Amino acid sequence: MTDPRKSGHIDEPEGTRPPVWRRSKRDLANVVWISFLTASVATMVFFAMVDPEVLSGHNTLGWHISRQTGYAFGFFGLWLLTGITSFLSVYLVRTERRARDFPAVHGQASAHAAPDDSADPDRRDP
Amino acid sequence: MNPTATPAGQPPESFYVAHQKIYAREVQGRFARLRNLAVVALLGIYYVLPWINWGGRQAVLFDLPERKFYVFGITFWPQDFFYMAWLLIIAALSLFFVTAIAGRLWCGYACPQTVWTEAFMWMERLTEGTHSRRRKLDQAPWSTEKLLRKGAKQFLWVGFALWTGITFVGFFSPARELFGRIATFSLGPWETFWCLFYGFATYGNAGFLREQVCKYMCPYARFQSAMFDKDTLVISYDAGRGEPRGGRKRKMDHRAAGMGDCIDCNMCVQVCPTGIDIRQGLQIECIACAACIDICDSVMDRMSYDRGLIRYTSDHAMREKRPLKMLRTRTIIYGALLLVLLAGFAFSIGVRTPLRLDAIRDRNTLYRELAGGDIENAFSLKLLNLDTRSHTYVLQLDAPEGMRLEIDSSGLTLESGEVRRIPVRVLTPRDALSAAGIDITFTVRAEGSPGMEASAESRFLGPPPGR
Repeated sequence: MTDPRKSGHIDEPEGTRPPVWRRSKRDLANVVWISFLTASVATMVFFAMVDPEVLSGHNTLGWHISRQTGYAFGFFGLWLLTGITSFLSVYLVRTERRARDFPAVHGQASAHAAPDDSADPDRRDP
Repeated sequence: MNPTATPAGQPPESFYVAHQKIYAREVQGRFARLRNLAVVALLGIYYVLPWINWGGRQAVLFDLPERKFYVFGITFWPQDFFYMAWLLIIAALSLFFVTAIAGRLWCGYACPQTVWTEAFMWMERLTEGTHSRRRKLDQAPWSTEKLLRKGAKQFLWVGFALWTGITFVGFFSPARELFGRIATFSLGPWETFWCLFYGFATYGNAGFLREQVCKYMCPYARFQSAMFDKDTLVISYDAGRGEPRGGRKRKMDHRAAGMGDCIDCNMCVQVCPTGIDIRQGLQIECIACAACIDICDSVMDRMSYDRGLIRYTSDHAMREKRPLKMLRTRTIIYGALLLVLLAGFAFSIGVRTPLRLDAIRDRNTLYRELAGGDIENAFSLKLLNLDTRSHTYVLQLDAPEGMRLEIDSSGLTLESGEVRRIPVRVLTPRDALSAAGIDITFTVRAEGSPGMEASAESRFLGPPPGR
């Protein structure tokens, strides 16, 4: 290895720190990933209690599916459900009116409210 | 020199910029060796385990089509879900315990995200070279070499991801048979789907998303700070020793010149897989991989300064220059809880009998008075053979003198996994009945297997005595 000072400065342009993901991208990632994790756990718990073969046949649903199909449908069904929940939560939080939009209720609020809620709390000024 | 400063004349860092790739510099040292060891061990376990046999069957198999889990010699049934829940609680508490003591050790060494990313980066280095060569390759126009290098990388990545997916399915469907079906192109539709799904997830997470998962998507990364306190081991830059930082000649007496030990070589920033500057203090992006410690130690060696300008230490130890404090209320409570849970788990697995008996009273009639003066109660017993082989059982009643058991079915041989409902009657002479309700216990024993028994309690009901 050469002198770290040299190799450190010469071939590394400044600003290697990657920019923060766009908010919409972060929201999408959070919705998809967190709903995936919770759906995985929910699938595990649900199918430990319920045998998909019991649900199929003429007992309850009036169709016949194999266990493997049952597991897969169960997982994606739960993922859809957790995904919708996750999406709606994020949607409601994001479309909430900000404190400064309620002058009557928060007469003083605008003074100490953040100037712009869309600012990223994780963001560090360069 | 501030590594995050934007070049003059450009607008400040904005959110509306596509993610820039991080070209983390390769690093060698104590912690890199430790992490490589963890990667090899963990991936080794993952890829080898489905191929190990134990007692004529795959040692670890979560057989979903059959709804049985085989873990070495033990078979778990859906009825044993309780053990899995317990195990998950133990896992969560272990994470709390480790986090309280040594911070994000999990993130740096054991998280699948880290482990597979390391493996993918290793393949990337093999085909595209070091970080600076990768950067040049990305900036260069397309050429035969670029195509070959990129193609080779993708080939390795896709192959490895597919193999990961197949191995994953091999935990749920017998791996040897699965591989046979792949070789003969007769894989079932769901098996194919899950191989591809998990392979795709591996490729996406380890090849493409990488540290973005830790920064934006991981819930543990957000709440781990709740387990932290001022005595938790974290990776810190010793600002008191390092500042004021700056470039200098190697032989110069920097103390005399009023300078700290940090030569501002920026190596700690270059090696960071999440692209942060540890000198700005503890940050949520830090996954505690310790790459900055390794590289800084090597720089300190080169400068003939003491190691540890960046090191594992706690806030208290660093500020007040006192030794690390591992035994604290928090760690003692976490540790004690963990110990109790682990001991309970081991004990309950140890005394677990692969046999279950439930007794359900006939709900239609409380009791019947027979012509001969006997009182009769009907029960429905549910017997489950949870063992891996068939057994013949003997049923027995634990009750006061005079009470007897009558069974309709004669042979009580149950195959492995069989569940059987056994209607039984319990009779007693009316005179022998001392109270309106008497506790009774049914016990079932496996013939030729001492200690394998299960019991179920119930209640015998009759008319009040003396009526």
